[in-house]
Amino acid sequence: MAAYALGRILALVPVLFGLSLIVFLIMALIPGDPALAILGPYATPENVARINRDLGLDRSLPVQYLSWLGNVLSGDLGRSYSLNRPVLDEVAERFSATLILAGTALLLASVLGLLAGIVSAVRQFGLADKLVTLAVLVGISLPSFWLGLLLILLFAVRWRLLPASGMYAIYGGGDLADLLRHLVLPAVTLAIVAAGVIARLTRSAMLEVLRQDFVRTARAKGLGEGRVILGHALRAAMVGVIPVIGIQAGFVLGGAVYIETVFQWPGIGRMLVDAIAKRDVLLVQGGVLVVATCYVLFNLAADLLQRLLDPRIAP
Amino acid sequence: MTGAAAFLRRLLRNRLAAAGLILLVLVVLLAAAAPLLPLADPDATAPVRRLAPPFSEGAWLGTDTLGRDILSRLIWGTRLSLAVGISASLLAALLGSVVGLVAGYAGGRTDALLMRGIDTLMAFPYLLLALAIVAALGPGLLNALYAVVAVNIPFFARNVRGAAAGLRNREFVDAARLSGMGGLRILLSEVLPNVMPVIVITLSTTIGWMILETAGLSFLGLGSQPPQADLGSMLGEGRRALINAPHVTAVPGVMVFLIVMSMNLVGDGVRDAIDPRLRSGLPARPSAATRVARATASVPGAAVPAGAAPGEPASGALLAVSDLRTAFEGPSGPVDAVKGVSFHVMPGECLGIIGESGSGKSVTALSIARLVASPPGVVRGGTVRFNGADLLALPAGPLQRLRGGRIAYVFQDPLTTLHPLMRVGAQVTEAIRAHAPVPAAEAGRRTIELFAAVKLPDPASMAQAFPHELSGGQRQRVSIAMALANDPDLIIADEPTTALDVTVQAEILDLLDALRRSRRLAMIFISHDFGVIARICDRVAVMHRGEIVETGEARQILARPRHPYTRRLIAAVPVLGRAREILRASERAEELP
Amino acid sequence: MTSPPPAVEVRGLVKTYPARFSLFGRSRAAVQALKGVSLHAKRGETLGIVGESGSGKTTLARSLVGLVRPSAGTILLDGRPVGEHAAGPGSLGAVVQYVFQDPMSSLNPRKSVRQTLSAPLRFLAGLDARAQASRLAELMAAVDLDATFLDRYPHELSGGQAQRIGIARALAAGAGIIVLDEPVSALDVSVQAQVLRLLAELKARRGLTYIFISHDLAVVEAIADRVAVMSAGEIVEEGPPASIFTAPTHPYTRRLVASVPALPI
Repeated sequence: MAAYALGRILALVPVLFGLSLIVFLIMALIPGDPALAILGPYATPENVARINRDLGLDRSLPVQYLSWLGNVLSGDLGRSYSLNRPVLDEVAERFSATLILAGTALLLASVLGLLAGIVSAVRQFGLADKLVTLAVLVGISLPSFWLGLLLILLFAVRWRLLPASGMYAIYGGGDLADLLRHLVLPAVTLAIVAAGVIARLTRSAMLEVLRQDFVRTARAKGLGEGRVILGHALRAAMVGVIPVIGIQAGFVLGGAVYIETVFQWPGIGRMLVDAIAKRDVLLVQGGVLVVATCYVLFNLAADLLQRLLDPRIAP
Repeated sequence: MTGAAAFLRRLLRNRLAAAGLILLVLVVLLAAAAPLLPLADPDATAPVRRLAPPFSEGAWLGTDTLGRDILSRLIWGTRLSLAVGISASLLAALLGSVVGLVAGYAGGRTDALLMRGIDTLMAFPYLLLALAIVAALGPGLLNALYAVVAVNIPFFARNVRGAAAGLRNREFVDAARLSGMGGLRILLSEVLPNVMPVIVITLSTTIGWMILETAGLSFLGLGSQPPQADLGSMLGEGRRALINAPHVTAVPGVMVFLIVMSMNLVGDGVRDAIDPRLRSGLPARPSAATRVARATASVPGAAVPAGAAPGEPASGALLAVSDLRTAFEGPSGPVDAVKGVSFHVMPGECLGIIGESGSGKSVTALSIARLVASPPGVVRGGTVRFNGADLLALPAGPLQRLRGGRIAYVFQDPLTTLHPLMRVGAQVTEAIRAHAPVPAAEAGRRTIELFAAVKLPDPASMAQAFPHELSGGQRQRVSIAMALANDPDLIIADEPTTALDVTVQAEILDLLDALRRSRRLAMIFISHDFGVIARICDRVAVMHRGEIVETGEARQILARPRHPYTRRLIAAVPVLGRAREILRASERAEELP
Repeated sequence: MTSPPPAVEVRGLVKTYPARFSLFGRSRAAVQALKGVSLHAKRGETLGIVGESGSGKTTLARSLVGLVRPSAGTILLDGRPVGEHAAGPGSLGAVVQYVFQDPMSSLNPRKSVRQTLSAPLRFLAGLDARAQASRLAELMAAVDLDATFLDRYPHELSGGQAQRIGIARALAAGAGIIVLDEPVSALDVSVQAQVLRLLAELKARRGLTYIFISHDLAVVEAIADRVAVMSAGEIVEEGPPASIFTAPTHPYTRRLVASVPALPI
């Protein structure tokens, strides 16, 4: 296991390298004078001179990349000209808000999706299965940004049960209960699609596994149905479900962009959309780099969990 | 081509997919007809008429914040969203499939390089990469399209590569190579047609997503730019009037939902229609025990099949099966796999059941403890008496106690019949504890004793191994230990040595024979191999097309087969020492009726 | 004037699958599948090769038709190295052909029998459409199948029929050497006997040379003129079937023969 973990961690090096290259190229490929593009409306002559010096924009691309990479590795993501503060500070602050939202949503989606998928498989063609199938179909077909608007209209405007926006708790403005109240609507909206995908996959994985020979063996040795399904079948089905939860983490992080926009959640998604509108390229670059790196690490964790469950994966 | 027609028929037989297809066709027709319809100018603003409710005069669906006609904008927006979404899907499918095909078929370094690139793209959380691309290229519908294509390429590349890599080492590709076909020709005429279903399935299941994503980028203001509207930007603009005029967002929202849902329905239908496993009907979850639906007129002894040995339930028989009928339900009613089979097993006796593939021998064996997958399996008649009790009438609880308790099974391929993710010791321990309230430590100790009894080397450490870490022979010894766990009276072994090498087979047969004699076990041994049956069994029943055509002492049947089928079968078996005879003998045997 | 070269001659064949180091601990020790195998088969002879799983018999078979590139040693077919055949105009496939173990997976599920059999006629024999048609009919007759089977797809064939198509494909371009890799292991005994009989007939009629690989000693005895026993990448014993199976000298062969369940008739 330790060898496997080390192997996986080392295998991340080229992926992270590629990732940094793509993020760097995004800035490098912007048409026109990069300094003007980066600075946009803040392109005073002093600023242009300074950014050209800071980023070495007058040098060749590989040299620029190396110096940029050096800066990134030492924790310097540059300075946001629209906010006039270090990119890293802004990203760190915003990303913690996104993590609360996306983490809650992923947890919710995994629990709901697994439960619904198992029930649906066990009661195949029954009423529960039909309801789950319908709910999944609706869930994965709804545009989450519209669903968010609908929920605001119903829960916040019409029934005044939950707040639609204004989450400041993580800045010290409120207590945990206040945070949770603000979290309900966006987290549920964000979780619905992922829950649908996970439920669907759990169902088909369970049905696939339940037809396999070793399930017949479990029955042949006299185990009860509960143990056959939860002890034997689910265990094997999880091997297929965990990577999908890993992928869904990416969808949830991405989907957070919509949800944060709809619910005015002060996360990194909204920051990115604002930064793109203001053409604050360094902020976009830093945000994308940090989120993608975290996503890669999350998938590493999913890989290791997978390996714990499935000893057949080569060490 | 008839294939396409058959495919469409299968697709439309799925009612949900048919409904989705109709809805989708309607939407596409409406969007395509936009220039022909008497619609208002979608971009003409009229500040006086802003936020008119639906069913207003001159504006069926009302007007938006700038007084523009929502109906007109909806239809033109749908047209734009569909055009962008569909082009993005096709582009992503084309580019991703090319990458996947090349990587999968070429293998080696090309594969490693291409897939490392794809991995890197996938290292970005989905939408974030699209945002980054739009950030670089600038907002705009075309740039949003490029972004959506880029983030979807990996899905196609990965799926297609997997399929192509699986085909690369298939024997028919080797055969094509030996038939003188060149690399490119093999790729296009052997690999591509077999990968096509994967491409179509991936396309039909992701196209809905891609429509959603392009709409999403427009919603964020990064896609279509005003005044041009697609469904996403209509939603984005309508947000400002969410509270006063919810219909401004509801109209495009419902449209996106309908488009995506119909595409998902069609996509699922396409997948089901293509997936070969689903062709013969829906795969159903096998239930805990085979369904029994015996006709009421099952009078014992009423119809003894001609030519078969009458299954007179010999007094003192441990197991007496009479007139057993097991069928598989198909699209045109149940098809009998076992057609009225009768036999018995005395305590301590070994009965061999021999037959070729499709003879119903395994179904017979599995029917005894009702382990035939059901659906589609169903026991349609007969009785299975074990120590006098009819197993076919037993409720779930007692049946469960019998399985692995008094009646134990050993199956063919121990790699698939043992749980791949559980240590083998735990699997045997579990069998013990399912039948007796034994503390875990005690059950673990007994497991190690059993492993020693089946002559596994170093039983204690063997118990900690996973199935894939053992050899085929060792795995089958584990299966046998599991069968012995609760001192059964009857072991049913279904081709237990077929997957093994001949020297290992000999060891396993010796082990089974020794255990059977020392523990006074009765055994039913299913095989297609006369030599194996002759080595281990007292009596043998010969099965052919769901019936027992002959039963008797093993040696006697082999020496003097009475039934023509048995004669033909034995004549076809090459016997070491005089195997050449079959080249002549089979000629004679085939002339028999 | 020297005697004609043997149809197949293999000298010191070695195949090593290299150790794999994928940077991060995922390593696999080198596997020597063939450890210097030498054998020969005269024209018109059937050489049986017997071995258990992992003995290297399939690697040997695949290297004879160029599907596996040996690490060392030479393979001469009709007196010429395999590499020369591959380069020349009459390519390797026109000299040696292969019959696979699983007849179903050796046929492309999306191609009709006609399409499958036409490929060697077109690409190896270089026949035009008319010549192909008459040759197809002849091939089907040779393997005892009705010409209507030409328009069937693999899923419409039984295992025995599919294997007959596999044999027809091997015969199509007129190759004189056929490598048969467990050609009857996937078949039921009655079908197995028919296919063996067909193979014997074809060999007698066309003067073919067979390299016949199987784990089943009795099947090899039925068809082979000479038998080589393989174990762990080496040939441990070689001789006529009568002496190998009745009086084996190598301990491995002895154990193998003793393990075969015999019919007590």
